[in-house]
Amino acid sequence: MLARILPIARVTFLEALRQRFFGFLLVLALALTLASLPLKAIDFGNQELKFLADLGFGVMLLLGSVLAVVLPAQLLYAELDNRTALTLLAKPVGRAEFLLGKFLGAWAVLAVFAVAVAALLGAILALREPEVAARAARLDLAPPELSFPGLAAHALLQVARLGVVAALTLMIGALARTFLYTVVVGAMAVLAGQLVWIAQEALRRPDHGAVAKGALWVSTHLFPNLQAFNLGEALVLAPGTVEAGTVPWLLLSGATYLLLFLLLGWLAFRRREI
Amino acid sequence: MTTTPAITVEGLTKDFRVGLRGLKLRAVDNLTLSIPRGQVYGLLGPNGCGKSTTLKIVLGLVAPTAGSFSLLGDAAASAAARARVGFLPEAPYFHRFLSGRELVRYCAQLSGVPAPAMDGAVERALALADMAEAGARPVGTYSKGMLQRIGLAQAVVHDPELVILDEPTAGVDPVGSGAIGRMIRRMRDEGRTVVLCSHLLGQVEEVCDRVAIMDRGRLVLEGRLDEVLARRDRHQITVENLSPAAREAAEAALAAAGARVVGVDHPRQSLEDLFRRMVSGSRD
Amino acid sequence: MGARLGIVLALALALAAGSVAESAWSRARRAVPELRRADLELTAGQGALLGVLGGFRPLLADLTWIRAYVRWERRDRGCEALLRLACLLDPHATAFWENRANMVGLDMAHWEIRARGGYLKVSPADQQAAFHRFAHKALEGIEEGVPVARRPSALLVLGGYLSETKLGDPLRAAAYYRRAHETPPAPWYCAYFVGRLLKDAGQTREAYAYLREVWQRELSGQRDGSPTELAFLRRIEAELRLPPALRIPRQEWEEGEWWVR
Repeated sequence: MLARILPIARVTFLEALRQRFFGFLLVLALALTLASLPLKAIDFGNQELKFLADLGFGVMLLLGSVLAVVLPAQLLYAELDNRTALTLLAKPVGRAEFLLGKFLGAWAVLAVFAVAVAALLGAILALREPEVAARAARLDLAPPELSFPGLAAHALLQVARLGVVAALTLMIGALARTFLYTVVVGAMAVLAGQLVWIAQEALRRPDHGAVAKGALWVSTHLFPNLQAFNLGEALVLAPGTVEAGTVPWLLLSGATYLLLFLLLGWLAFRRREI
Repeated sequence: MTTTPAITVEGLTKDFRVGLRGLKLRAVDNLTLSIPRGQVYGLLGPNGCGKSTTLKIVLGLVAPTAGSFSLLGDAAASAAARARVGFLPEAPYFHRFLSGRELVRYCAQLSGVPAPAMDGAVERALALADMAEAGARPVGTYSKGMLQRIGLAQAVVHDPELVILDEPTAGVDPVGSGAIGRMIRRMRDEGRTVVLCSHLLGQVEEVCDRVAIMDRGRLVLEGRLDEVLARRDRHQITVENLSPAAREAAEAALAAAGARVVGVDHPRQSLEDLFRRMVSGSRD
Repeated sequence: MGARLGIVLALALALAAGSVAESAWSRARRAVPELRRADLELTAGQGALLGVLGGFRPLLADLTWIRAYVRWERRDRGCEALLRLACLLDPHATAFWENRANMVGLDMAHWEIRARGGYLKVSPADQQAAFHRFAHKALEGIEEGVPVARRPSALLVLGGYLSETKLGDPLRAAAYYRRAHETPPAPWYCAYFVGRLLKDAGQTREAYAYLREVWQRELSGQRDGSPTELAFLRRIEAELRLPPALRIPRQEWEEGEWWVR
């Protein structure tokens, strides 16, 4: 099975890397992250590191989400519309193998994106941290907290989050008929995922009726809580505030949703007419 | 050697729903067909007659509305059956950034060619398609004919028992078309079954052993090519150096024997033959 | 795998995914600032509700703070609302609360006095009233930030500073420093400030009792024996003429009446 999935993933990865859309978003993300450097001209004190980090996290979240919706949809529909899928699926390649190969290729590109932005952000923070720390010491302020393992953990969480979004988009793409529909519905699903925490919070309160509670329960089980993955600020700038085990639990949560969406995607794709 | 047909379809029907109102469009209508092994089988018909849909059903790419089929004896177009089939779709499109060699290697990997045999299989398929020299170039730089030939190479790289070619010469010039014809004959000589789906009758006539003609989703004629083309009520005698007097004498003799001469004509060579002779040696 | 098995597996995965997500969120939510309805109303007015809900709160808070900072440099009172918004959007950021209290408590009274004609034109009583009004406003902000900021001790120290310098209220200042001392990581001088301020307010015995207890419990064991605090305590012992038995036992490193120097 892997002997067929990996070549598909490899070709998908190479194809995605060559796409102008990916190149444009990657350059934009790196440029925006770099654009935070002139902020040092404003005297923020210890806040400078927070501003740098927040901008990097925001870029990763926004442009990463855009990429995670558009790229898998584009890669799937390029195969279907150009009819390369016809050639591939006439071979002894299962629908699940095809979908998994597309997913892994797209996910690898998204990982390159997240790691590249995180690496640049890490370099910027490492560059500025000594000066900010020296200034804090001069002014008798608390030294700035900065955790590079926290940044690595955040990058890992982003890779997981982008994987969940990519799997969600592929599931929608397997059901949908057009690229545009997939992207629009995918974007709405991502937005819903960013807002699921509100339903999760509401579910904790006891003042709901059975129907409302049922609706909240269904929505919190169907959509992943994507907001939970945005712990960058806490992980990097206040590492002590993140409870032990949070990152592994989030990774496990991401993995279960990822598997769920891929499975649903396969169920939708297995009877699709090519 | 097994005697099971390469492909059988029985009562095959396929309806598509089109438009917002879901209007039913019947692409294949109660088709029953059996394609024997070891021959070149032509599936003919005008555009939209249901040839490609039939092949897609047989390959498991489209689900039939009714009826049954079997591919190399397998009733479900399973991966194991598809591993023994090579397929060149109509107007094939491949990843433009891959080189021809990378594309054929990619398809070989997907077709289950074992790693130790990989290089040999890829080079053999490229040589068969006369693409060994152009194999290093990106697919995006290929002409239409080269695309068809690299498509053929990817279809045969895993040494399949059955090769299905959907319009392999569409848009290809006569020289390229002739090369593809020779490749098809070579495959037959190697004992493979070739299903050739085309609306170019001249080519089908040249390479096919057996043909089926489809129209509006239905089978209208099926049989050995020489049998279906032969007109048993008419005869043709080709002679050289016929003088007008000898011709008149022959016509009189035939009339005396009770035969009716319908026409006397000079045989014509086909434009394709003329074109091939004039541009022989030119490639893509 | 058949479709039926796939559907059963998908249902099982959906159940598992929901439960795992719930566990993950119950851990993660402590690191994510809570958002209250009042905050949402405020941000909705800024047209950023979806961004706020969708995970861009820290970034929007930063941008809001930069806008507030630019207005503060122009001495524009409009910065106050933006400072508040920045604090609500990212309540964990101590620096937002700290800077907000500094800007409101230390600067705005001066802006108002200047706007009313300057220090020579505005009567000392009116100046005093302005300083008090803005200091109270800053302290209100500090009280709002203490339960949610990541380093509340920094805010409490600032509360003590504003209470002493702007309100001239040593008891209130002492209370702030006391809370700061009890909220790690507090600066070393908080307990000493409590003693000094209580003594300034005439509560010398209370000052001695508090600082002695802190010194004995926390400071005496430190490497240098915390001589500043002990010197202060020795001066109070002398001032109150405490009998030697009631005084802190003499330390090994003490020589003569060293604290008088």
